[in-house]
Amino acid sequence: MEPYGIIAAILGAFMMALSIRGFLRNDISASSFLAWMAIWAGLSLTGLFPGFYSWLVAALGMATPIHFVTTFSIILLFAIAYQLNRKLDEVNSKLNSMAKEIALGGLGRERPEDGPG
Amino acid sequence: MIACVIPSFNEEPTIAEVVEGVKRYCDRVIVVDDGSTDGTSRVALLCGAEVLRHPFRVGVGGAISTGFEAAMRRGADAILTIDGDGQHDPNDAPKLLRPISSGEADLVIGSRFLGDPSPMPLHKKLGNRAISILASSASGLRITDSQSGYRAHSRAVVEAVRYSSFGYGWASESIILAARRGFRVAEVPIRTIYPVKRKRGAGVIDGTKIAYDTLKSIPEKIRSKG
Repeated sequence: MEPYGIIAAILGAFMMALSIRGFLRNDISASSFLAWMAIWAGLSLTGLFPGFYSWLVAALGMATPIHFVTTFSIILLFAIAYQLNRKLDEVNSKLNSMAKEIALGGLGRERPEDGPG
Repeated sequence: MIACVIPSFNEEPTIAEVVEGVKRYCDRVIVVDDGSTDGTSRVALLCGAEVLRHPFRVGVGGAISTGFEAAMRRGADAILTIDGDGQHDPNDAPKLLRPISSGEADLVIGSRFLGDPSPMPLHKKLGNRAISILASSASGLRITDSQSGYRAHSRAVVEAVRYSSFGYGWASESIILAARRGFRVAEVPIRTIYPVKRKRGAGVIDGTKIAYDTLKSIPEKIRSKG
């Protein structure tokens, strides 16, 4: 086994442990937990059995397994970035609407003595 | 009843002059403090304005939207919007309000380009021109200053036009939506004031966002014609 394979396997196992802990503490949802576990398992398998993807790599016409892993990882990262960006926009929009409601509800209306300055 | 909505963020040095200036032409002045950290709210209250305060900075579009909602709830027939940083002359207000009260227009934009735009920095002039061209294409109107925040609105246009932008994009978006709903949009010349120490306003990133939002509206216009 190559040194990078050992590092990948250790990192995968460590992240799996963190994900399990997060799931048990209700920090992440079941669907997120399953998705991340699949990713960490894939990472660990790549480290432990570098030849695991050989058939897929050959079928896709790629030179080495690492090409498959890097290409797949970049696509996955783009998908995650898109999803996070969408969520962030959603949260931002909700926060802005809440700020508006607070201002209109009189909660944010100020008397001269509690001005910020 | 004429209400004036003033979106403001850290405008303590200028807000008093703006509130006092528009009080002569409006029955109610509503200052929307968009999360200021200075004494904007306090000064505005001392000048007799009603102050609504966002707990954090939402953006000028969000502040205008909050002000519109408040003005509508208080029964305004016409709503004037003016920036809180002193870049608009309150004495131009009658020019903006006249076409609304006479029923000639539903949305009146104070155009710095129909007046003398020379005090405006060159990069702002170019940016505003480019965005106005995009807004004109998207709305089918000839708009010379789509980013001007000095405007007068009829109650009908405020009720019907619900823009989605929380930032500077509200200005172009509201024109496009008003035009699409068949409201009459007019422009009148206003005086351009650019204080030497003016530190904010839409920058390059904001300008790009506004242009992007405006461009997004063009295919919708083509679809609606088809």
